[in-house]
Amino acid sequence: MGLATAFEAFAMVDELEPSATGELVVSGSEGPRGAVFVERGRVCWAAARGLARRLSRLLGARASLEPSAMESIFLYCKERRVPLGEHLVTRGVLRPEDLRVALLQHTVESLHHLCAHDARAAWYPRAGAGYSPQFTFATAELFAHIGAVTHAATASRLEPVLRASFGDGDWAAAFVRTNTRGFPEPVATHGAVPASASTLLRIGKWAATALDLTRTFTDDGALLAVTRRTRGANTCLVAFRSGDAFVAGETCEYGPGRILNRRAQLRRMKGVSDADL
Amino acid sequence: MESEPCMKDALVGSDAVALACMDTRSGLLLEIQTRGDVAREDVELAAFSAAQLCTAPLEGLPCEEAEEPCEESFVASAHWIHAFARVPNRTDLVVVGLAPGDANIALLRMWIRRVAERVDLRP
Repeated sequence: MGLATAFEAFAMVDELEPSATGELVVSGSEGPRGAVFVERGRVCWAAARGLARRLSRLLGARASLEPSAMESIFLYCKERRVPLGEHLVTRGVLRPEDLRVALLQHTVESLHHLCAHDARAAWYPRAGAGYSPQFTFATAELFAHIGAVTHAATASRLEPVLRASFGDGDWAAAFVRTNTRGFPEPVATHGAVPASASTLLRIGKWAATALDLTRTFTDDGALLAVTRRTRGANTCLVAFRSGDAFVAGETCEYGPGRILNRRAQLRRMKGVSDADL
Repeated sequence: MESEPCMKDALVGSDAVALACMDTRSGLLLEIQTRGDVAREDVELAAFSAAQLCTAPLEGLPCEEAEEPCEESFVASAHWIHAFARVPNRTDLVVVGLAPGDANIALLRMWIRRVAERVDLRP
């Protein structure tokens, strides 16, 4: 299967069984480029030719280890086939949150190298290395992280908007649409968004289409709320524009009222239109 | 469908300034009632969007187009509130009510649900 973008790699992972463990091996016309390692349907990390030592450099920098000390730990882990990052956490030289950030950065950088012109991927089931789920990633998280890095300024603006608009137990994602991508890109998330990048994208496409429709009969700042029954309770799927981006999320029955109230308050205080909030 | 008297009655005594009924299967606008200086065209556009705006994506299915019809929805802006409700036993029919932006959304939603129920009771 062809892989022109990282999203296509995520879509392949999303189509696997939830228990799937193995490698998505990526090749180009020049030969093998690397692989994406998957355990129980979650991405552990990705390796790309030319970036072999990048992860140990990222980990070494976060653990403040001298290159020589890092090298000996790297060789120790390689010989014993122990995950390097988790070994550093176990030894207490690296904080778990720093390992997660380094793995996320490395995985996204590797995917950028892997998923380019003429890339093709094939799935090979393998026994897992036993990575802790704490240090693995849902495809939606990786998808949103790529968007956040690519559109950093927009992401920084939207994170507080999501926090202020949605409460505990809600989830939401902010998306941008650009001329370079044929689909909305998630740039910021709040709460437990759907784990699958494919589902997150479907939510984004649904919101983009619905907001385009509302534009034909009302103003740009409109909020759409659709009531649906989820796990025995009524919830609301909401969508609204915020500046050059838009937001889609799920909240409780009273959530849309809270968002509308916040927008009305901001309108009064700042005198700006809803679409700019 | 003989919904006209029912729809006319419904509009009287409510905050709503327009009411429409859309058959989302055939794409036919079955009825539209307005009052005051509401642009009929805007109400029609809202009604024509009813099928999409009263639908949510279904999660957990591989099909990209998998969507579920939802009982109700609304679109609220500073100027207008559009409330949509599916007719309970004829879910292809969606009624749409329009009220000014300062109307009470909860009351408008309750009203449009009642209108949908009344449409459902017609022979």
